[in-house]
Amino acid sequence: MTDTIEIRELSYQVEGFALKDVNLTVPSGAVYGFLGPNGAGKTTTIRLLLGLLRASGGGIKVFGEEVPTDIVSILGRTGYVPERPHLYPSLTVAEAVSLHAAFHHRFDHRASKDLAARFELPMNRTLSRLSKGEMGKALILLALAQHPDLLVLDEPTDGLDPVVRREVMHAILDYVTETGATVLISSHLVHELERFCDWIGVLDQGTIVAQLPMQEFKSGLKRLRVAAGASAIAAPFSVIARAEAGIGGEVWTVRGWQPEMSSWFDEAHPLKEVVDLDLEEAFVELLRSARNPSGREA
Amino acid sequence: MFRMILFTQWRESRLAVLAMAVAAVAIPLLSLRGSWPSTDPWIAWDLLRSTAQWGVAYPILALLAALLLAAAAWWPDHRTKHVYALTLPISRRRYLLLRYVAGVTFLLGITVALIASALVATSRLSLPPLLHVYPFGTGLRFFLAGLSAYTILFALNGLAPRTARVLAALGIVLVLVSLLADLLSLGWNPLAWVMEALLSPYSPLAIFRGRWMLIDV
Repeated sequence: MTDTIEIRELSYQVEGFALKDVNLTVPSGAVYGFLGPNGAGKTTTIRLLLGLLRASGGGIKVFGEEVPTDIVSILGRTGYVPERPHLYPSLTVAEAVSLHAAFHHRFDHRASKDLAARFELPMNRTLSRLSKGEMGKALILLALAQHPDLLVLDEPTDGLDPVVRREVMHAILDYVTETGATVLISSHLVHELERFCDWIGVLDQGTIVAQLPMQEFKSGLKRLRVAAGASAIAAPFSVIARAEAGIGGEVWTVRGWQPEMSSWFDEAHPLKEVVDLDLEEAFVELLRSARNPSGREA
Repeated sequence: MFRMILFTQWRESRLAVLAMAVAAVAIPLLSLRGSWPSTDPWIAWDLLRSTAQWGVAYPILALLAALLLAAAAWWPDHRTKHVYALTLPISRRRYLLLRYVAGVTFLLGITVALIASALVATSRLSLPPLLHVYPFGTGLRFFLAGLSAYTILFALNGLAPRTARVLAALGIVLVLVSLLADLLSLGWNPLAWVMEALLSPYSPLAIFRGRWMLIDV
């Protein structure tokens, strides 16, 4: 499998914020969830990826082409939904579609009509008068109808109600299933990504703290309930958080866990329970361990 | 592509363009209104005086049109922080050219309105000997003046906000220093120097200087 996006040692600095040596690889055909708390640098990374900002160091390749040198060719194959609506508000939805189609040679008018009907978009209403949900749908319509090989979605469902959110995510998934396009989707709504993504990357304070297949991320992260006093030294997994839990017990959040590792615990300090973490819990633990590495015990 | 850019710009500037076109139609008609009907021609002096008085309106209209068209050219992109424009698969140079030419197209429309009005207004005149009408000359001058001003204002309007702020600050400093120098009777005026330089015979804005005469000898 080749990579659609390769980001190497990417650096960018503005007053009060810096991206530091970001390395990120999005395999072709992957739905890559770009996670991180607000202000982590997700939008900045995406803007650098699309040539909207100039990096101070490192390099970005999309479809094997260099950003920003080959940005025109890259943008021709990339659908983008920004965090905040970027369309000209005085246009109607139909006019925005025509404008977009004029610049994107692969624009699929039939798909555009189908999506407009599916989303029940008021085509003759000006963009400035659309509701938040309608605007979200209009942005997705434009991004999908241009028939991109890469979709870059920056918090595409932020602020949308659950019904619209579901509609939008299903439209994206249908498109990906049909075309095999690559998706980079940034969000802080961890639950939303859990169902859709097959890769995740976690950015925190301008640094990538994890990047791995979703399955691996979810399966290796567990919460262990163990007897108090057990030592984690020389454990075959890494303990990323440890806390007391009632009398005679402790809860460990671990990474790299395999079922056969339960035999590692001795009889004096037995393993009582292994609990699966959902993505949100895993995300929170990951951030906690990244921000406070001294809290770990290996 | 150009058609859609033209359309977006029309959406933003249609009221201004229509108002300018109406003004362009009105000025030649108003400047010669007293000279109709042709059976009662003015004497040459009155005609020239009226033409000269109204002639001031042409450069003002050209400047105003340039200002509004330059603002309208950038307004949709300024409103969206240029994100949409910068994510279109087109080189920035080409995009700028499309926006620029769209503004020039509207300026051309206003000019055509002015020439048409000037032709109508002058066609009903019975000119005294030695006087001639210059509807095309006036129209061409109006277009070139508007184009020079539009080009400069389009470039200024497209500057990064920080650069625009620096230029605005420099302008304010210039005005304040000039006022101070005037109050202290220092005998020099930097604002006058700048205006002189801007309207010097070598400046693209020199076309604004002098008299604008629809009817002349």
